[in-house]
Amino acid sequence: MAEPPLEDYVDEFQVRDKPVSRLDSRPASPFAVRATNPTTSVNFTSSFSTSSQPFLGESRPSSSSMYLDLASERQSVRTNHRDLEHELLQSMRSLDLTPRDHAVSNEIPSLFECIHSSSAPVAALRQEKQFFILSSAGKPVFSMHGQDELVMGLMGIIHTVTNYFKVHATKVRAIVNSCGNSVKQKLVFLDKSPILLMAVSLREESVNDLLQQLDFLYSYLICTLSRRQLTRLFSRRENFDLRHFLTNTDFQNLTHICESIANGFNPDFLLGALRCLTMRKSTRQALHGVMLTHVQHPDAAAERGTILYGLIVAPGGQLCSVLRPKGHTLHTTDLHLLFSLIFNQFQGLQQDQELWLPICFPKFNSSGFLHCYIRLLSDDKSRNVVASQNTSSGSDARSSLSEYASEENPSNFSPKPALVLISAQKESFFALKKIGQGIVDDLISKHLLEQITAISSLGFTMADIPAKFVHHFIYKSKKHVQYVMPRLEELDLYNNDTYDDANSTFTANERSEGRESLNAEDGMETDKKGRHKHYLYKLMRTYTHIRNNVIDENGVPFNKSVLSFVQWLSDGLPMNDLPQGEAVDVLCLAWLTPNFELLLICNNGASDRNVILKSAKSIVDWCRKNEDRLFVKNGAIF
Amino acid sequence: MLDFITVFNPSYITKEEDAEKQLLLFHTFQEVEEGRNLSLNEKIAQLGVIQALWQFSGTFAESQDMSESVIELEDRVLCTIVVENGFFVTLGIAAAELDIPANYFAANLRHCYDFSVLQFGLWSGFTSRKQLTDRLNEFLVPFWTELNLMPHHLWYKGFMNCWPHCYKVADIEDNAKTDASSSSSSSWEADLKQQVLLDDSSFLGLQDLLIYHLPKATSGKSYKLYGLVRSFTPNFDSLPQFSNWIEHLDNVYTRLSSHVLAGNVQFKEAAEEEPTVLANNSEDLSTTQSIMDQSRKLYNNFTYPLSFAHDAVHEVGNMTGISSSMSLLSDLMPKIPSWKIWPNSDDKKAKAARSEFLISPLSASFLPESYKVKKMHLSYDGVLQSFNCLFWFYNEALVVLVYKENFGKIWDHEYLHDTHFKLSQCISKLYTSHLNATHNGVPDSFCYAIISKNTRRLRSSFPLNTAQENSTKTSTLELVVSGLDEFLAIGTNRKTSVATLHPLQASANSEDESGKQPWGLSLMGGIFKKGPADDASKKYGETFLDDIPEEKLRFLHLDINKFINTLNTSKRAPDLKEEKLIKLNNGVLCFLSETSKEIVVLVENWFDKKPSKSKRSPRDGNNLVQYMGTEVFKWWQKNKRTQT
Repeated sequence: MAEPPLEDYVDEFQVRDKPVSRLDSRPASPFAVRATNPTTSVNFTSSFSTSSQPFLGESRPSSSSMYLDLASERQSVRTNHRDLEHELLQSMRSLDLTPRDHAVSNEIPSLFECIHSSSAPVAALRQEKQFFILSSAGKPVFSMHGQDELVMGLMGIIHTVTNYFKVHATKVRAIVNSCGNSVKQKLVFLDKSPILLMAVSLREESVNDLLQQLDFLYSYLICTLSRRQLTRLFSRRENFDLRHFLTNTDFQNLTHICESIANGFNPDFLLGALRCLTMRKSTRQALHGVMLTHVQHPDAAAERGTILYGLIVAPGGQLCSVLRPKGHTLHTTDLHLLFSLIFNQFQGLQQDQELWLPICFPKFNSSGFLHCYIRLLSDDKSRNVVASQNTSSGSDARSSLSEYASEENPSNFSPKPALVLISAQKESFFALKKIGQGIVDDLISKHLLEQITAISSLGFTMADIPAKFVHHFIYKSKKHVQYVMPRLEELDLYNNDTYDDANSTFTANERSEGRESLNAEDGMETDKKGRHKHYLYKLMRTYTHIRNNVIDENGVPFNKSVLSFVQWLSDGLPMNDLPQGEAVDVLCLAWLTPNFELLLICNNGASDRNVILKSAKSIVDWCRKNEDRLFVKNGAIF
Repeated sequence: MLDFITVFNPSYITKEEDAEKQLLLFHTFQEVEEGRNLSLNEKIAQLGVIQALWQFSGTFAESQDMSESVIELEDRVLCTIVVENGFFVTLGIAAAELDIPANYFAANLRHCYDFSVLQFGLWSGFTSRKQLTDRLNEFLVPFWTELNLMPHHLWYKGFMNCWPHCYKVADIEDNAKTDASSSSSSSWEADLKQQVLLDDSSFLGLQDLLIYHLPKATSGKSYKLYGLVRSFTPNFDSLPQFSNWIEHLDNVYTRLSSHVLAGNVQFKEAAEEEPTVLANNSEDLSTTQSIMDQSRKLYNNFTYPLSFAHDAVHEVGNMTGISSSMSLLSDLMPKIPSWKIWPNSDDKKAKAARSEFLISPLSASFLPESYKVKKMHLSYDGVLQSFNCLFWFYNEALVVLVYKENFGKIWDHEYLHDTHFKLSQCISKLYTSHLNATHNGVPDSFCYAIISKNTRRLRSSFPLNTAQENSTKTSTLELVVSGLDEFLAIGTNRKTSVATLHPLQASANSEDESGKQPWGLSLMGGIFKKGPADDASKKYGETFLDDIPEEKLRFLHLDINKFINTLNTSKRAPDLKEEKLIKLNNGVLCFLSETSKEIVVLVENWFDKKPSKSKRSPRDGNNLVQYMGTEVFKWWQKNKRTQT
């Protein structure tokens, strides 16, 4: 994904000698909070990009009324804020608010051991994570790493062993290997005859985490084949080679899923929840309204039974709106699969192209197909429309917005939101197309699409929440099975393009020197990307780790509600002569209650538990207060 | 509950056809179904699978990194440890209904191996495969059969099972400090060193002296003062194993006796038939009845820890015509002058303290060798050698004298009497200075466990899950002293064998009663009688957890076990330390810290926390521990100070 807009100020600091006092005149601004409470590592980029954030508007009376006129508002806010940001940056530098010991960084330190150790003889398949898929007859289907010959042999062993246990009327679930007091590796098996899946992990994932991941891989297979077809294929010939049946795209998708599970940043799988696009309640209602009106439109009424579900989803798998029949919901895994397909496989879809895709939702009905009408909601058209409207409305704000959009667009990778309509009827394409077209037209005419595009790359940041010392957090609302988190720059869940991936399948070998190279500020674009990816990887591992402090190996919470703090500190003895960067002092929090799940990572150096707890509470309060914006609560029900 | 235990070593295979050669032991605990026994092929297939999975795991990480593997099946768990570079020990657990964590089994598996090495040396040291198999059969099978009969022993150590390579030390340092200043005379340690270790008569012969404090608290839970008090020779590599062995015996057999130490006892499932059935079948009712009465009496008496009453035996002896047993019994008494110090001897005050050799050449001459000297394979300075060990007790203290094998003087009774005298002097000093400190009555509001990674010492005040078995369960088990049975149980009263003990924790008053018997085999048996003074002080638990119900304690241990598991799975960088504070809504507040040197576990109840947070100094270092209660924090700081 391209750089988000509005980040340009980071590179061009202009010296302006304006008094700091202006800051004080705006006590309501979150900036004030941040400035008076210098944290050890202030996240500048995230702190100051608030302008692009819809909530901030709230604190200022001028914007309280008209959210729909977002663009113009944003424009003014932007110029306003840019000044302020520069000032602030300037003043902070001159005041030297940077604390004594710690370098200011928006990084979290590397907390986890690197696999690579040159001294030990390297095992045949030394990977942090490995996935195998094979048929029950022992035919390989897919392997994440490894040469074919090696993998064949290993799968032979898996097959033999599982068969041995099958003969003894049992199944192997998991193997945990350890040495002394530390668990070295976990091997988890999932037997979904005629398919057998296995995962190996040297990380701190629990057996349950790994089972979830395997289930997702299996779900993908079902998604393309359907359970019925799968059993049919294998019932005919037990040693059927599924590889001949799967397409190249399937393998690409499997690789991609594995890759994104292993090295990407995807709390979706960890939490088993959907990410939701943050937007105003009114906007969301407008979206729901648009969907509903077209489904319930008298013209469409005849074909009303045709549509089952409707979804509008923003890049990164962020759910915007759901249209669903009363009393029915879609399983999170099904939606993850769908989103994964849309944002991985179908982003090349042209503006005027529509997709009519049979897809099996394994958790909905694993033996049948539903049919999806997928249409990307590109800005191209909206820009044209906007441009034509520009003449009439003369709003420069809007044109400036579309400028940004066009800036983004040249790189074709920039993901687009998508409209998905799901039907159970094979031949209802035209009916859905009609509904879809109606929805798209409405979205454009009501400027909802612009808003989605604008918001989806922005989200909210830590600065919006009065929570001190917090680097990043994930809040999952159990009721909604959705989670939110502050924006991460360049975050893109489903679109880490495969070409890049092939190289940056960073096994830790490549990354072992990461600690030093991270400090090297100057880097080429690729380096920057790699570093960002490494950052996300660290973040993900940290989240996985801290979540294990409230939930046990089998996915059962320690108790109804658990509050856990985890702190990493330098142990005093410097290891293997590596130049030590900053001293590690990271405090994390995992909080589990029947209603929510909060995972939180603090800035390096912030270790006052009480303050962190206060911050955590305010995050929870904030998330509850803004529930309407953060989550799709009910969706459009018909 | 247990399925099978097997030991195999794949390196014993030389040829393709030799697959059965790797098999050293395969014992199945399941009732053998009619006609269906596991064939050799099936056994070997089982080994093959275990080995295959082991090798398979090795392709993803260096297999040298691994020493333990837990294979979770749907209805079973296979727990494997690899010892001595190639011996696989696998325990199959059919634990569908029992949710005992796998690491409890793994810990016991490791203990089992450790103990076997103590008994007969390294497995790889055996030249003959057959011989090793015999030894394994002798040792591993009874070990696990007993645990299978009494699964609660698996629970006993609770989360301490996370560290099978560590050993418990008695945490009596506090008292030591206060007393060192007050007592003008030399300390007990110095005395011991001077009088026993460095004594001319045994110098160079006596390798080491190990002092254990093994209290049997009436509350059944006090664990803080339990464990090793002192060992004198540095570089005693087998110390953890040895200490764990002592603790294991003490726990499983509820008390250490000569029989236990000599390895002559075993739990067996008692015969189910009622005595009355026997009576009905008998022709001469009246005689049988009287014998029955006597044997019941005898039976009751034997519920005391082998302290069967002299007169009871006498009567039975008359009835059953085994009068010869009387002389046997008197022979069992070591003939040493000091035995008069026991209660009901002619001394005016019955002395509370009792002391005697448990295993020594002083024991009756007809008893097997193992009662006279215990041969143990111990490792000093990395060299594993066989040593002669003698066991001596004083109240609740156990002293192990480790002699070099060629030291002949231990057969000299004069020398032993002399040593006995010196030991009782020193240990009574230890008692007065350290172990007598009466508890101030206020239980600690927290529990701690500290594991030192270097010294492998484990200090802990967590109460353990002592088996408070209900009588219905225990009655089906009896402790059988294998040797004595043949001597004393003849013919009619075979069922109520004299040498049968009940594992039931005898209540204090019954022990008192047994103490009032003029004399008896109590010498040999449940020696660790509690002094009355101790009883009074133990009314108060030492920690807040001492009073919680058994089941809750077990769940707490399970919870903490899970917490520790998060430390074990943590893949933090080696130069970091990890601390965590876990708060459950049921009141458990647990602090865990792992550094390269030690692991600390602290638990308190946050419901009890006094609201004194305000006055705490804001930042005393970056520790999560400061958010525990004030008492904990004080302890923590003191602990830090003593370390530095």
